[in-house]
Amino acid sequence: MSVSVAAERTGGPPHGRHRAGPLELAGLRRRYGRTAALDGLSFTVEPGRIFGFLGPNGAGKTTAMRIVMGIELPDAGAVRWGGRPLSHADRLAFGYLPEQRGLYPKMRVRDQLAYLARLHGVTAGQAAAAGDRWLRRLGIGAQAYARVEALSHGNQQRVQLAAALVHDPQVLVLDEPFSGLDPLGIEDMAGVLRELAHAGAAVVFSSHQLDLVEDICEQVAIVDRGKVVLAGAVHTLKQRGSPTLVLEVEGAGADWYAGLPTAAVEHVAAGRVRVTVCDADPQVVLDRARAAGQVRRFALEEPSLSELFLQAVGP
Amino acid sequence: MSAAAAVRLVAAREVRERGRSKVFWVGTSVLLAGVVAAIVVPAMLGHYRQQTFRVGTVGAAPPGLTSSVIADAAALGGTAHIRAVGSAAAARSALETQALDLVIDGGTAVVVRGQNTDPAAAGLAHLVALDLAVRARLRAAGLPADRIRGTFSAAPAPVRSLIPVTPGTEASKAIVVAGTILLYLSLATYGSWVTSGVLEEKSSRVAEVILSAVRPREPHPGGAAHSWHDAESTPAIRPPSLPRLRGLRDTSDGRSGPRGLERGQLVEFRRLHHRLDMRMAEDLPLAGLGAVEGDARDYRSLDPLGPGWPTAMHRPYGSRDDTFIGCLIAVVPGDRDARPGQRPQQLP
Repeated sequence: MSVSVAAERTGGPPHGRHRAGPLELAGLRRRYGRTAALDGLSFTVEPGRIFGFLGPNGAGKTTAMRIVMGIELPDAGAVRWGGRPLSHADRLAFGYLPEQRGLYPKMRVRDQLAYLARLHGVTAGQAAAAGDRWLRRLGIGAQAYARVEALSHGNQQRVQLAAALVHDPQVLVLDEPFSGLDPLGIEDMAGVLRELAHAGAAVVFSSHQLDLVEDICEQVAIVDRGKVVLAGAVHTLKQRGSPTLVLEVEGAGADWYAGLPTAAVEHVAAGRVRVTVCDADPQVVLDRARAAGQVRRFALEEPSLSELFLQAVGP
Repeated sequence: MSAAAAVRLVAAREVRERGRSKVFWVGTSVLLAGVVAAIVVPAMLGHYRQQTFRVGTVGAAPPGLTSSVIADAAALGGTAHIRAVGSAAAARSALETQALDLVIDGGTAVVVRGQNTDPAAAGLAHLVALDLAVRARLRAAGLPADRIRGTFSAAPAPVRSLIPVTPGTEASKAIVVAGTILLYLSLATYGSWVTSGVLEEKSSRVAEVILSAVRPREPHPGGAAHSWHDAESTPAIRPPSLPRLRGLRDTSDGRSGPRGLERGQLVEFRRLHHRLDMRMAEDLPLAGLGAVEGDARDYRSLDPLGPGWPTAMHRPYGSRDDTFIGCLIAVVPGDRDARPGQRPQQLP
């Protein structure tokens, strides 16, 4: 049975805080010895949006999330919510999914969810009901009385997500939430995140699955060495990036694309060549192709998020 | 949620989950069985350990000797089982095989095995020997047999104890020893369970989830670490016994040296707590007022917000500041004329 998130978010959050506003990380700095994990990291997540937090390993994503959740302190900088500094009480309205398993392995799933909900100020009755609801929503209702350690990796991840959602948070901070999920699980979890954002929650998550991020995120920030190197709406970033020309030409020699900044040349059929060109004037390329042979395909493609990522943090 | 409610909730989970563990119940049952045994067994042993002295007599015993021996045995906390032995050889054999504890030989001497003689039996032998010697003196003095018997049957003079004697002292000692061992085992067992619970949380990231909802110590009195973390959300931090510190924030870039701190300058040191790789923002009480030592570049600057505000510096005192080491916070007092041992001035 599928239950919409919007339908579940009835009566408002149990923690009693109704601050709708952006989550803002401003100039966060954090050092570990001589290593700067965060070096002036700043970005903003609007409510009702899904925000992808991307970066190579060691870029500072987890550190930033832990600072948001109050687990670590920044050396400098501030985290604000709704324009005001984030307090501990505010964090009761946050849901957190750590990168590695953040559950008691020997505790029963249902009890675990109820316990974590109560830590966020939910009453015992509401906590149990919310736990059951989320377990059903995430397709693991049958495992409610199982111990976490007895579940598969994917189901443990579902329980972890349920634990982050069980107190009806207004902000979700998820560190690699799709890790270990099969395609069905990914689709299911992505659907849940979309519904949460639609219901008004701000969702920020990190992931290395860039295709997935491109699919479900409206906004992203790419970090490298503790700094944001690229941020903005996904479609804006893609439009701003250098488009790629893809041409398939028949009956042309090999010399027509000589001198062009080709990214790839591929023989797709007898006498037919697919040429990918970057950073070139489309009209010039098209004219040269038409002069050389018959143009069967001509496409101007925006860069993918993976390409933007590689451009931003690549060597 | 109040701190007390959070503590109750966390503790209740620990108790509830522990109560669902078979290991817990088996361990607790074993300990309880040990407690019961420690109480019952010494009491039973104390009861059965009332000693029976096996006394043999060879030849004719003086009149009234039997009742004297019984009285002596009772005085030693035991009973006497007296039987006649046919000959001195049989008595010797009985002593050697430990069938008898002592033998009264002809009413004139007492024989014990010697080697491995029970101390209580040796004590009884001395009492009986003394009894025989007195009887012999009385007979030699011409006292009639019935008067000698009457003399020995007289009630003994009362013995008064300055400190009342509690019955079963030996059993009590055994209970204390056993109880101490059980207490140690209980502490070790339950302590290991608590440790395993902590390890369970540490080995997973569940501690992060908990800490995102529950503060490790709330509300703490404030201080440098707290100040710069919550500076903007906390109007005023008022440590109960320290200068007011507020509005501290770290503006260092991590590379430049400290600003406003000189070698030899008086500073107030505080300790900042580090746990594993998590800075918990728990500052411990004032560590002392002292002078800056070492290379000033070791310090990282936390600039004051404005005139009159303290400058705070911190310096890791381990090889890494992301492990369980901590670091010193040096808060420069506003009064540059402060002397060692003097409290920094109260800031407005």
